[in-house]
Amino acid sequence: MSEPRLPSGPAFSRRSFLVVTAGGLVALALPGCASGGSPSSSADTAVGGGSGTAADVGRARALIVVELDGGNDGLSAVVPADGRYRDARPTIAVPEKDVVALTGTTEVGLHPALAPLVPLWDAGRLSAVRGVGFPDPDRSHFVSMDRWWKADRGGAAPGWLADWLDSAPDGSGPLTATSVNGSAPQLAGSGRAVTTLIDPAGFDFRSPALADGLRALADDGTGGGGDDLVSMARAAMARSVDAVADVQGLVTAAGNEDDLQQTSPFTAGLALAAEIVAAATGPTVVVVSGGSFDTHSGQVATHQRLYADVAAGIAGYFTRAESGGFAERSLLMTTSEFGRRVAENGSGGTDHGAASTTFLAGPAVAGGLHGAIDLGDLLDGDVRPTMDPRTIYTAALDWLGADVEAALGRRYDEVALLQS
Amino acid sequence: MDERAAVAWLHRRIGLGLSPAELDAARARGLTAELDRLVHPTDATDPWAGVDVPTDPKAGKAERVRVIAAWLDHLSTTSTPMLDRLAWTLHGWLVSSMDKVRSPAQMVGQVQLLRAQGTGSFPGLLRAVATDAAMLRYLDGADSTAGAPNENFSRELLELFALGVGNYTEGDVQAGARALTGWTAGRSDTRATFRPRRHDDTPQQYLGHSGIHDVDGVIAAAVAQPAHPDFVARRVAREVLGTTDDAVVASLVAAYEAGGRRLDVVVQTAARLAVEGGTDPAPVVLAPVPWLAMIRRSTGAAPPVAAVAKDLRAAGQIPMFPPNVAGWPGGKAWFASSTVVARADLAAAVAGATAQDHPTLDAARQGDLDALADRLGVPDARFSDPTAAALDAAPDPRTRLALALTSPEVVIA
Repeated sequence: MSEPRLPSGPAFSRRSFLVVTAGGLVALALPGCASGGSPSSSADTAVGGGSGTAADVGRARALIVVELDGGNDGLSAVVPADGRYRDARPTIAVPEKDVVALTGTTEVGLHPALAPLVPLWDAGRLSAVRGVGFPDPDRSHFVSMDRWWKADRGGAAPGWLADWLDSAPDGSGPLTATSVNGSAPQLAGSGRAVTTLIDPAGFDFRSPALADGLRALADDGTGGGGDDLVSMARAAMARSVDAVADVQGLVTAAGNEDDLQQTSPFTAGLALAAEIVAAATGPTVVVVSGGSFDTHSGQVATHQRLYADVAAGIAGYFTRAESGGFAERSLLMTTSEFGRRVAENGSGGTDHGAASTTFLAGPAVAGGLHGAIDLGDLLDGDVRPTMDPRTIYTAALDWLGADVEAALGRRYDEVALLQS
Repeated sequence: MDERAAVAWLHRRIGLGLSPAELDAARARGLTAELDRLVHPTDATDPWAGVDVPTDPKAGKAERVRVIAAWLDHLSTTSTPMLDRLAWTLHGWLVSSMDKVRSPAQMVGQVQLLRAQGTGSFPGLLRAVATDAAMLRYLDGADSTAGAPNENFSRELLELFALGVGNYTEGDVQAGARALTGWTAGRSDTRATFRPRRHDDTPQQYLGHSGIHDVDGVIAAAVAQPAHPDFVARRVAREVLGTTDDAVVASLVAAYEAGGRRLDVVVQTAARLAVEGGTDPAPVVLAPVPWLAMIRRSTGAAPPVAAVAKDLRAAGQIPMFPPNVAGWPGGKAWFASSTVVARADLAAAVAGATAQDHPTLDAARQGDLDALADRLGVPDARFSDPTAAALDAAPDPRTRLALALTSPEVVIA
């Protein structure tokens, strides 16, 4: 196994779990003691020789996955300075004068609604990865989402983060893995539970008696773990009562609770994600999803609204993380099942395409532009994939100290997306 | 399954539950008569009769809630439960969402279509949905023109509505998109219009047929594919029986082909297989909306609509707002924490709105748990020991009722 790129990290064994702080590296919860001990009690097992305080050591890294449902148009998010883009999009190209310039590149600029991300870019804490897609793309939402979720392992394979979750210690209780606004199939197949908030608004019991009653209903005397629906229903009750207790006080901006639908899923979801990570005492994954980016029509207005929400959410997360002292523990990535056709359709939109653009944000990222696309070399009218999504996953799993080969079969590290 | 259990099972799987009085009457009629009655609905009333349904895409939240509440009320009281359960299932299959459609009248029009034709020919329903105003808005047919066809409906027709992935090519998606052009509907139109000048009448090679040039040809070619009956049978098998066992699917394919390609015939066949012992049905998790309709029916309760709308949002299932074109993810997805908590809150709202002298609340008050299980349609009329222990410990009758409504025995049918 090749050595993962981690700050001054020693090689580690397949099932070891790593806590990495700004100051050093700590290996803990090896197989024999995976369920024992709280993370903070393991501070004295530090092997990295780092300068992290005990409080730092108890708080491990967080990965925030921002899923842009519906197939996000990479060309609208990170706009190429390329006449062929404008020729293909006569009515819906981002006007040249509105494109937000990015320091260090004349090749691309940002969609104007993503302007709140510029300070992260300027600080070297944001990267845009272009040409991201599997080499043999599929234009079905559901086939492509499944491939992204399972790192293209197909069939009954678990999600690409399931193996990480299985190896994570019980550090942060029911919020070790949390899904906000959706069901996070990236984490499915783990033996450990995921706290799933289809909609975090109104996540509270009408009366304390209900919480007590649900806890009683959850108790079948077996301690849980059965894989029949009834056992799963009881386990879900126990987990939900715990999650309500944990989430209470964390929800600072559930957002528009009075509407019929969540209208700012990313701002609200990432505000919750920030509080989960701030409070976490162990490694944490939060998946926040929203959309729809399936812009077959009305693309201009939809992007304006959704990108503003995404940018406010990501910028807000890192503002909160800076003030709360957990930015150094945070890596955020966006995903989307595919990009869109280069040429616009007749409905002010674009049909399903192939490669898209992914953002990575956080102090550990190698900031700037990665990957290349060529609008003169399309694949059936779509942006040709040049960067396997598993390259992003390799970086994310390295960040978590997880076993890349177990999750992906091999490392995809031709491009270094994190600082070495 | 004995006959008493089978009657309750039927109404939870292919109907929308029963009130205590209805359950007694259904058992008195007997299983055969009851199944026959379920699958031959009469006197279907319109859920929106007497309700002001705005056509305006800018309709406010209160107007939208009113339209949705009318459907929820109807689902909880309908005299044609199989027809309405089927329409509900179809709403999550041939999907449109008010999130994009905006006009409440267009969404109501689509659901009325699902109710009116859900028990007729399924190819006929697909043909009608293809030029339904809400569908034209939701999957962008309304903006698709000969010069620049939009692939959205053409793709999902094949992937999600009629065939399933792997049974068509990208070329079929594009050819279908061209043949489907010309049908349009404005944002507040309740009927579609065909505009010949927007239509590409060029004969297309589509799904192995040549000369396909219009919506009739597209639908006919799609349902003529060998994959179509199997796709339909699998969907019904999963919904009704919780299984896609090959032998079961084969029986349902045969029923679809022999019975005039009607979904109600397939549903009926699936139900008969289960109650007559032809197959052992697997348990299924009830989605929040049909579950709410059933617990309302078994308690006679109609909790305040504002609270219900808020809780259904938290549960992840607001009628007319499916999350995407694939509808709601079912099964274990309903064990999401927010759904579990929202179900408890909805159950408390229902228990709180149950009349003091209702027999279901009375059973909770007496602590007669077998009677309570029976009133709630649990087929073997008993709660498991862990559930019974929790219900025994409840501090008051309405909390006991709320917990019973949230129990695995009631949530899982």
